[in-house]
Amino acid sequence: MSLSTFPPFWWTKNIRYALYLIRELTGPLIVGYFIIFLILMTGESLSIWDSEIGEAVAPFLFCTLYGFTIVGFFASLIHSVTWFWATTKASPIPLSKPFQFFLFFSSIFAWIIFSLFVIRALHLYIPLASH
Amino acid sequence: MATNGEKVLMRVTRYTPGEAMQFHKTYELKFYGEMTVLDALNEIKDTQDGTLTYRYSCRMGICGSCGMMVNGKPVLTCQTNIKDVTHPVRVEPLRNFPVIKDLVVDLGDAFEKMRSVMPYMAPVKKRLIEEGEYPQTPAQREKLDQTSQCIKCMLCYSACPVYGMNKNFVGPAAGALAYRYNVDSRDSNDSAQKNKRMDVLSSEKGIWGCSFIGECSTVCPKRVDPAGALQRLKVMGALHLGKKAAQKLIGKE
Repeated sequence: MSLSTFPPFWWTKNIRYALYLIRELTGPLIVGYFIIFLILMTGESLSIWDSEIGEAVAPFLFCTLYGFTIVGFFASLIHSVTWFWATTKASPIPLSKPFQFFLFFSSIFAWIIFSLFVIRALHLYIPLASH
Repeated sequence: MATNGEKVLMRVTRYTPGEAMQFHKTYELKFYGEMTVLDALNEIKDTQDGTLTYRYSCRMGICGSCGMMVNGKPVLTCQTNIKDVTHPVRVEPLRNFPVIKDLVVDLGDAFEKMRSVMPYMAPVKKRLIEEGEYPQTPAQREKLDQTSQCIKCMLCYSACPVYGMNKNFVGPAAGALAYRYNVDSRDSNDSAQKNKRMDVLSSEKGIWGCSFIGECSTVCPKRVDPAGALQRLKVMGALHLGKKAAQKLIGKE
């Protein structure tokens, strides 16, 4: 019997498939950021970048890190937002649509507040109301 | 968009049993009134090509027999109006299933998966006929209402890339069916059958292949939301595995 199958590049045939693939790709992008970050921090702690080879490689790695920081930031935003939405669907207690939206936006709000707290706690400069 | 009396082209994928490849045949017919894709196929079969083979039954979106790919989307052809689709209209057999002939596919694997989740109740305390029916409150009934609407049309299996690539995945309709029986109050939470069902769902031929693409819920003509049911089953599956591990730890199987 002939098998009617998914075409090659199936994810290009439908916007929702494409969005799904973008969502899945955010994971490796975030991991890529952390790997580059760890390599740079490890190199710095071992003074590898002070050597001749290190001096040649370090600028390339730092540029890659800056690129991954921007891409990784947006990837983590998409990753987190889609995860919060998915958790409202996984509730074992049936939730009404309005309550799912409430839970989703509450999670986003709590996430933003917690993130601001963490950033402040790390003593990074952000424009906050003076105290 | 078609208007009354306008000529419409239908590009239908054909397949002859025993041949290696499918082929396409284009038919021309006149659009009229509220002609659906199924109406067009019937017209082709009646007036142009009696060999065209496809399934249909109720013609009103309740039996689930007439599922096909129309312009790349899995739909019920009796519910898809010709004037609502782009032309020429491409009609193909449902994706992810072996083709028997023309637009008829072998749904055996999907039905086997539905049987594997034990879609029936085995109440712990059986009631005799004289004791009457198993009572259920409206609130209890509402829990299984949505997932009980499934008409087994298998459009969700066609829309699921995971099922397309991994036949071990139990699939959306079977997942929704399993959830329907899991939340039925007439079945005890601790019944041996429910535990067996959860064992099947937690196995390698279970639900874990689902990566929540969500297309199954988008194409479902009865708004069953199988994607939501599968995510809830994942929570149930995780709790079930945790309970089994704990029971093993304390020496109680």
